[in-house]
Amino acid sequence: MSTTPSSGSLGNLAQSARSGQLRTARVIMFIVGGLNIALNAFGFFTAARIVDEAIQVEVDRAQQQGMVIDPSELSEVRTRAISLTQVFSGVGLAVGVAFIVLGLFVYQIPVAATVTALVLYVGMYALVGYFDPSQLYRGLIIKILIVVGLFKSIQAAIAYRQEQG
Amino acid sequence: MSFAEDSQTIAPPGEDSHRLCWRCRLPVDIQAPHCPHCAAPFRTPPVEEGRQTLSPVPLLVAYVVLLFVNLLQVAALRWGAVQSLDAEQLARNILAQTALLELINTILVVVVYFQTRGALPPTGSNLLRAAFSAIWGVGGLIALLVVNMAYHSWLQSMLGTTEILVPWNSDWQRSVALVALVCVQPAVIEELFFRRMVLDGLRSAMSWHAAIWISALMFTFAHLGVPLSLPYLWLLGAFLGYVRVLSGCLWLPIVLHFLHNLVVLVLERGL
Repeated sequence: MSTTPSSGSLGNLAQSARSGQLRTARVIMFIVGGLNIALNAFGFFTAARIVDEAIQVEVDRAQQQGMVIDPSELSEVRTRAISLTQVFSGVGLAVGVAFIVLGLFVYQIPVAATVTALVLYVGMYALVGYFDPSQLYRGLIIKILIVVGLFKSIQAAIAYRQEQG
Repeated sequence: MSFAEDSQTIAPPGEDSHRLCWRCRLPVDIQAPHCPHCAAPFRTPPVEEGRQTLSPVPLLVAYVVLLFVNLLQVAALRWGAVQSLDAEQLARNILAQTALLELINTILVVVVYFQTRGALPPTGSNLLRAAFSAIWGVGGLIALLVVNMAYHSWLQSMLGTTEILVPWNSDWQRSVALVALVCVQPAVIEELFFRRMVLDGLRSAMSWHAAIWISALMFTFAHLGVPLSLPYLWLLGAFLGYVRVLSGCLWLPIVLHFLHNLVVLVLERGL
């Protein structure tokens, strides 16, 4: 058939486009993972300072209103708040590591890696929004671009998997 | 929009020894390792006749919408908690908002189900297999409930409890509403979405172990209202996924999910 050479070239062009899309997915996963690791490692190791600052603000406000603070109760609240902050930072760290691992395996298990990355990203975004609704609007355009990029990566991964058979 | 887009359509009826090449879309012998027209390689099995494969992409879009609805639900519950003057009004508000948003979830899932129905593979279960799965499924459920109790008592000792609970023993109407909203609707709708549509959609594109754990992760994030229970919910989602795959039927995960939620409801609120 006379169309064979051109079909082949088109196929190669499509293949390289898909490969490029997977490379983009890997870059997205590395950036998101790296940022998650950096921010949560900072949160984990400075949890006590973050909690102390927040408690101090509340204590000042309460004292201005003439309230008396029970030191033993305050100490208990502080311990719990530090534990909670470290648990959430630990989860964030684990998610960051997961993004890096998914990025590393994006060519071996393209569909599973890209779908997991999208589910993790959207899920963590919703979870952070649950605790702090103001986070939903911050950097919204970048977040939308990341989600669109991951969706395109999934489509490319499905086609890439079919190529590989 | 068709939910079966990106599909690999089969050759016309009567030519079942052929399939279409994914690259050049020309008919190719079903046993051929390469396309004779463009040399594209094949290793994936041919698609069953009369059916299109289901792409996970539209299901993921539906999932993002579901997450957004869940966020709305959480925001509405918080707003309800702030607006309520007393415990009775708070309980009524929570029930009414939950009912409304579960109705939205139900409509969304049913619409997506009717869009994807043609592309979903048959469940293919038999009674003996389902009965055998039910036996180990109930055993697994009991073990999971023990894990659930241990995990939540550990959480409570570490962090204290923060969840707002609607008491269910004040009148029978409220008890019926709670069972419907907490046990029946989630069991049917979540199983239909996560264990039927998402799991089967993902299974067409990856191994079933991966599909089960990813669909369980999606199930986990769909429960934003109980953020501290998310690790446990991932385990529960995976368990229900394995029940679904190994039993081959959907009714068994629905029944187990219902029983799980009923036991949790009773344990949380007392008889």
